[in-house]
Amino acid sequence: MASLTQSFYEDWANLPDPILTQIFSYLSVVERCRVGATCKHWQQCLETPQLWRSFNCGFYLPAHGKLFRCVEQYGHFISRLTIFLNQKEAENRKNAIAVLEHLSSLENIHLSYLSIVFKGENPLFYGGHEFILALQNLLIKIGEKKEKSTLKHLNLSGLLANFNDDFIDRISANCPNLEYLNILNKILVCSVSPYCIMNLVLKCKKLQVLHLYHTSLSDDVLKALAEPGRKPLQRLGVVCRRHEKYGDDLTSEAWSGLLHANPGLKVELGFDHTCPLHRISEIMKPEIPVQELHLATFTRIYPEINTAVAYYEHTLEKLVVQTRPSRELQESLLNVAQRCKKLKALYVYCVLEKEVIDRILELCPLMRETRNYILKWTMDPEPWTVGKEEGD
Amino acid sequence: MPNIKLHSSDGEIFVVDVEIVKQSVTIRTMLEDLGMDEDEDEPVPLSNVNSAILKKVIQWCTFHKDDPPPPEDDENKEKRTDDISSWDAEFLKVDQGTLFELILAANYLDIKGLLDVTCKTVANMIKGKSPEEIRKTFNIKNDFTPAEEEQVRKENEWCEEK
Repeated sequence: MASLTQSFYEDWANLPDPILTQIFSYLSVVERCRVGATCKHWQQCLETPQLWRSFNCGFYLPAHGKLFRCVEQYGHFISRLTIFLNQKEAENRKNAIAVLEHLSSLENIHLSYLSIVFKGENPLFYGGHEFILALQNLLIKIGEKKEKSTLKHLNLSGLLANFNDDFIDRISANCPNLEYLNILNKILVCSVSPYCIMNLVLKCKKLQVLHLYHTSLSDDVLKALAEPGRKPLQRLGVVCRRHEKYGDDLTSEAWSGLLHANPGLKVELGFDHTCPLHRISEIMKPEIPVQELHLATFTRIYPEINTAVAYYEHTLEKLVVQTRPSRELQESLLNVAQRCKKLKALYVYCVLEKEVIDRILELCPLMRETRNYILKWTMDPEPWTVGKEEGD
Repeated sequence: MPNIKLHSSDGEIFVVDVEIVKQSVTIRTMLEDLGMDEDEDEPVPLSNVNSAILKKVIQWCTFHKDDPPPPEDDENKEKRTDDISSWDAEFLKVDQGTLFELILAANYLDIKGLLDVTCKTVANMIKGKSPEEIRKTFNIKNDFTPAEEEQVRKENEWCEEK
């Protein structure tokens, strides 16, 4: 076949810069380093800020520590940083911290998004203190820009470390432009008090999404979030655990006030198996605009489902239930399917009768189509992975 | 439907439905700026695209004429290369020279969808190769001095460890 090309030879080395940048944007960090070793022009093209704005690194093996070289070279471009690691090995922890320390040492830091995700198991008695320290230093650096402080999104849900008030205060002091904060890590004891969340709310007036434990909230915090002069709060994620035994409720008035000031607010409400059962109905107030409800209690939970239907039938879009099967449970789920017209996703982690499942899917045709559900009538051989509902 | 005449760099004239070529921002702009009437006889000159490549481009645009406009690049989204459609993959089973020319044409004519898929294809050709293999594939001359090359090799030694 005759070549369709003109007679000059293809000069891949000298493709226009924007094209090379686009090609390189599809390559991983490692692959980019390889192209940089081919010729000068390609190496130069790697110096494009857009390429390095978003930076993912994973530390699972000692060899991954050398990713750090890339951070050294291009760290000043990084705007979005996600660090994954298997924190069980000291080497991985050291490497992850080195990345944070390097960023803290930069003259000009552009970090706007930070997420740290522990993928393994904490060593015995490990409290993540070294990460808290490294993060505190990084936050101080970020805070040097004062009102121009760049950090907008901080997701620490994957960081299994003990957050305390000092640490949260450090966030409040250095991130006035924070829009997203998630401190719902799975650490056993959360020692973040409502006072320091109050401080956070007062200092971060642009906060639009907040995920935290119920024990870190108070009526005063809700009132502060309802004050004028703030960016509207869009999403509030609240998880209730064992410490609800001792907690004060958030009152209906406080929730009403919050919703009134933030009419677009959606709430994700979660209860785990350590939350005392009787507290669930007490904490669920009709005024809360619950869009997502997680009942991971493993106990008889159908009265609470019925309460949720009564309160949240106009707002509920997603329901996750971990419980024991029973006739009453099935009735309550049918109740959900019938009355919650906005329901888009339903995940039930116990075996149900097929007829009930068919009826539920009949009542929710959109959900049946999008397949955003786990409804099983047999014990599948494969484990059901709670929390992986959306395939993340 | 209104047609438009495209004039390739080597003198061929292509008559194409104007809706198909509007995927090219360059041509669309030319039409608007030059105030060209859609059924004017004056052909649009494309001095940077030869007839063979223009033919391929028109073929791609014809197949993709009903595609929704491509979404704005989200810096926050992970960029994938495994989502090339089977038609596009087949379309791009061409010799490397043609691929090279298609990239340049897509860039010059500003056809985002075609540029995206050709760049992804090249990225896929790069993946898994060492620097030397990449040079060989793309006929790239190593223009580092021995000293520079040694430094680059040292800095990237870690990339070679699997």
